Amino acid sequence: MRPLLSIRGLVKRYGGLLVTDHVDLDILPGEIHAVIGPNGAGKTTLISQIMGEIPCDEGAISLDGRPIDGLGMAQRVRAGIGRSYQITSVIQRFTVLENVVLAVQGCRGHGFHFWTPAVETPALTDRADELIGLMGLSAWRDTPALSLSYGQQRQLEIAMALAAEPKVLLLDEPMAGMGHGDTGSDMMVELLRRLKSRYGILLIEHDMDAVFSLADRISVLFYGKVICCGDVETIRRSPEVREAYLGDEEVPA
Amino acid sequence: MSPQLLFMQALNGLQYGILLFLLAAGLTLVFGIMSFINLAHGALYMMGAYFAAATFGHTNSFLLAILAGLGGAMALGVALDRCGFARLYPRAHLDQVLATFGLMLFCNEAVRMIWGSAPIFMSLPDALSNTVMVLGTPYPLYRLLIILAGLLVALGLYLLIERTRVGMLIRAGASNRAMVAALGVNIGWLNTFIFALGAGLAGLGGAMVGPILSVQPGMGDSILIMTLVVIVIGGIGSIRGAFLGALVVGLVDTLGRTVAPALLGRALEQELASTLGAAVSSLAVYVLMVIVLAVKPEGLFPVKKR
Amino acid sequence: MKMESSIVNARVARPSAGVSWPAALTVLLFALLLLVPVYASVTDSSYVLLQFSRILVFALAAVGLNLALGYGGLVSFGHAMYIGIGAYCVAIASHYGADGGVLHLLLVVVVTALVAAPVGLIALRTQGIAFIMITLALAQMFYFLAVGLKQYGGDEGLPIRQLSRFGALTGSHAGLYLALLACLGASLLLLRRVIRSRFGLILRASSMDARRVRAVGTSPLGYRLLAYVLSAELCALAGFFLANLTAFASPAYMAWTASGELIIMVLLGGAGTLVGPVVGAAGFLLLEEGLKGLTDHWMIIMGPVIVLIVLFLRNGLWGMIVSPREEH
Repeated sequence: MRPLLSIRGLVKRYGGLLVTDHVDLDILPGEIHAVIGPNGAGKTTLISQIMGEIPCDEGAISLDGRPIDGLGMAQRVRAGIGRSYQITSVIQRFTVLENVVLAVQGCRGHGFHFWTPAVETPALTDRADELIGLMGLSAWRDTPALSLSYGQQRQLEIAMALAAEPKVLLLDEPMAGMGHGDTGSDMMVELLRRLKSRYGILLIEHDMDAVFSLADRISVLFYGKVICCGDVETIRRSPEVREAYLGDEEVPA
Repeated sequence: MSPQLLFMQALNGLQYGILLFLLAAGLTLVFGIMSFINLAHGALYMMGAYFAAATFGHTNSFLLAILAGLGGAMALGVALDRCGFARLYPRAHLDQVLATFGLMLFCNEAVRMIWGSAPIFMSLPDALSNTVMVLGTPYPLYRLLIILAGLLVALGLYLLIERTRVGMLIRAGASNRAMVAALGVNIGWLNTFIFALGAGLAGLGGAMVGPILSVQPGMGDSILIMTLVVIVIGGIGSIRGAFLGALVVGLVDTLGRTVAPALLGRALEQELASTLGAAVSSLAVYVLMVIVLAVKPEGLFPVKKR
Repeated sequence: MKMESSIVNARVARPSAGVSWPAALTVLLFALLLLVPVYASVTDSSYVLLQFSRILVFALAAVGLNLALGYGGLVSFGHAMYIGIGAYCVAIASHYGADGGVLHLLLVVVVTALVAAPVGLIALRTQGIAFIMITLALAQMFYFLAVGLKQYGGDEGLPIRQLSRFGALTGSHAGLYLALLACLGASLLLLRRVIRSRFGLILRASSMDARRVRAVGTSPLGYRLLAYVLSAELCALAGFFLANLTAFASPAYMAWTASGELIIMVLLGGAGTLVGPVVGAAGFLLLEEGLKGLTDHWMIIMGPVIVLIVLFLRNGLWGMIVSPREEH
């Protein structure tokens, strides 16, 4: 099975510091590949390089077999990568609909249309309403994002990532700041399980329960280096992982 | 154009560059540390010149005049920081630009009301009015002294920033302000110090050029723009960028004004050359800025932020 | 953490039901403006007509700047240069004997596009304070160009002997005023559609979070550049009218202080609101006239007034009455 996303030998240096240390990573179709590691291990930097937000110093990234190293961020998104941010970055002043319409139009032709109001363009709003419904936010369609709860904004963020009809989703701590329960991380876990079949997902998370219940494979990032990659059992048993995590977080038995 | 004339113009360019550095250093320091853009910086330069000229008029002491310009501008800087600018530091840059723009208009008018619109002159003491020989070329001693004074200031700034504790705070503040505040440093005191330092440098510049330029309302406006060009070329927030940028801008502008018409005069017929020359010469610096930005949008020596 | 600039409005409205106050007030405003030539002819006061013409000129320019500044978040400190370019197109064409009105307009549009596109491209390579300073410095370039070109008047400016010819209306003050008013009204109506369109959505989003726009697969540059050029065109159109109003083109139109005042007008009215710039321009110029009547040293009051506007009038005069979303 050809990987949807393939990273080979990725290196990023800040001055003398090796923040990404020759990382190899694959995301296969239909899999949730979690990336875990202590804070400062370089997880967000990794995602930013995949997205093209920051340049990498060495390495090759390909999407569905096609190298994307030369592409800018917007181009990579159009090629098929969607991302959600660790710190919610929806447009606060826009309504839910406007945010999703913005996301939908991004991968549908050019935006140089001047006459018809964006939120009255069926080609855009039909798809937007579909996504809003998928996230369960239909009741808040015309509400400004800043009036939404934190959890709802996270959902909106995911809706926007899906709008581009990506092949690969990069989710940066989607459950951060959410408590457990129906409106919290449990809901998010359910959502990810549903999404899994249609996309390949790279999931960065600290919530170990969620990781172990969702992930097909896990890569452990420690000081920029992947020290172990394998399925849930392999990771649980790995001595290197235990050592790396000692004092940081409890690895559930 | 004789090589001697060319050399003299180069020295003039250097002197202009040093003046620009005095202003740019203050402006870029304040921006780098406090993220505050101060369009009234030109007004501080103007006040330095007026304080110096007024003091010289009363006391006939050149030294006192220079000190008055420097000190007066510094005092003004402290007053501005303590009595209101602090409100502006956290605001967006546009707000700062506009508020200091309003202040600048006010200062120009205030000066006009107090001293009148006509330029006032500050004469040089005899001892400083001589010419000296520099590499076989006669050059006004005073301008040479300005260059030397500026270089001394540059050295002093370098030592301050690289070798003292205050300088360490400045450097730290330039790359990560929040951290410095979190470390318990009294940011308010540091801000006042930096602002006063910048104001003093501007005032010193104004005081020093009093004798060679006319001191009049609005004299700060055009040099302010030039200073902004220096900072943009050199890299906002970078003292090194301000120094090198200022020298480059000073040289390009002065040589552009003098050499371009001469060069054009050889290539084109007289009338066209002189009109084109006048237009082109003042553009030289802006063209330079555009070229630098096309290649390096962050300036030649940008400060790396964390 | 920087507090939000006064250009980004703090309030987000609930959709309004029934009569739209902003629309009603706008209609009232235009009705009042329509009455000015009537009043002027009744009282035989051409001064009033000229004053209000001048207000409309800067209202149009402010509306133009607002597209880039208020909606696009592009803080251009050099937009007055386009007013100058518009004026000089008229002046220089007339200087060579070409005085056709339509020709002048065509010239204004083409020359402005030829200048604004590269200037915009250069400036848009930077952001934040660098963008402000670069637009300022580039405008200075054009200012010095105008000052340096002695055969077109240099710093004394270029008188216009033949105004733009529009048949019987040539040189008519009332005609000029009404044409200005019509242009202003048309601009506002068109802008209203553009802001709500897909282009407008992307532009506004880019001004609030450019990274987010990239993250949905759209690159903000093209949209910002177009907004910049369109806003330059509106300012140049204002310059066209200004030249016809004063029969004069001067580098002073492009001084950087003029750009600063234009931004103040936008802010005073309410950046990011549709009609705000009109109110701001009127308010600023009327205040200036009033102060000039009081004292020669009116700037001593104007300066602090500007500071106070920036510090306290964050949403602008119009922005206090309406919130930007309600205007749709």
